[in-house]
Amino acid sequence: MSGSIYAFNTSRYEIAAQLKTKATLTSGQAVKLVEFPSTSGFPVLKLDPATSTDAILGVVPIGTSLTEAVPSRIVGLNSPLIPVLMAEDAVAGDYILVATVDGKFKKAKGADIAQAQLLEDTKSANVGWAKPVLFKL
Amino acid sequence: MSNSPAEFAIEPIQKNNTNTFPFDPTNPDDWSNPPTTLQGAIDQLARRRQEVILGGLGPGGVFYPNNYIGPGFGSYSSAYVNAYGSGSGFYRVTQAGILSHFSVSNAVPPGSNISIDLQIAPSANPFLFVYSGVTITIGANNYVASNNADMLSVNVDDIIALYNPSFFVGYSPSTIVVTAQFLPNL
Repeated sequence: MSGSIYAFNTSRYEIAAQLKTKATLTSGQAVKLVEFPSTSGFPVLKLDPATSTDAILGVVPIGTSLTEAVPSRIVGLNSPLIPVLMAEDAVAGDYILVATVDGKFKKAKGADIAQAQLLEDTKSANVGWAKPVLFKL
Repeated sequence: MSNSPAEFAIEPIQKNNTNTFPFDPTNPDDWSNPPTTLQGAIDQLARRRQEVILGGLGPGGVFYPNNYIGPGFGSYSSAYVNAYGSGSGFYRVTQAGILSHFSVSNAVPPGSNISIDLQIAPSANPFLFVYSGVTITIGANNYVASNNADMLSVNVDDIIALYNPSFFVGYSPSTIVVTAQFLPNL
């Protein structure tokens, strides 16, 4: 991340959540909703890593991890800025979408529906700030 | 225990410009809805808002950026909502109702505007803390601040902590107290 991790506090847009299946996601990985809590159950959304065919619910915030073991938080897409974990190098202005099975982002190509736009140059395996969009290239 | 007027003479149910003082149960304007039955009167009295303390810091208290405070009234805030040994802890809701009239007082006013977010978690589980939508902003150089616009519906075993959402700006309020008025559901 070339910008500060403190550039924006996403706390006001965070949702309590937990993975449904065993995994560990780190900051910037995207998730999809798989299960609402039952009315009598533990009140936390159950998620799984998003893949390229999923509508994403949010991403894991800076400084947070998401596992199946304990509840944690995700940043909803109503946040003006979200952290994204890139699976390839990209630059500010690139439209991106989830392109791996574990919720990492790549550049969108022709006819893709972009899910975010990068706001800073970001190398592969790094986290960068992006703004959520829903934009067909 | 009798139901004499003297026992009602605690304070008005709802203040308005025709209230008498002290509370006069024979004056309809001293009631939010003049009760027609004894049970109605008892219900209204039971529904008076109660001032509750959500949290704060003790003398010499420091509220660091990106930190939590609670009713532990420690001398400094905590980076983790459930951290051991610092000024956090939670306000636990023991009865469903509505929190409103959020208020802050601090012994040493801040030099710039400070926001305090209320975070709330269900089931008494601090891992579920999220922003409640309620923020109290203390203006620069002010000893007190209020948020009378927002209301927060709470359930049994919800817990509340107070969070400084700034990554950069903390301050040293010394003693700071955050309160709200709680109206229990019938």
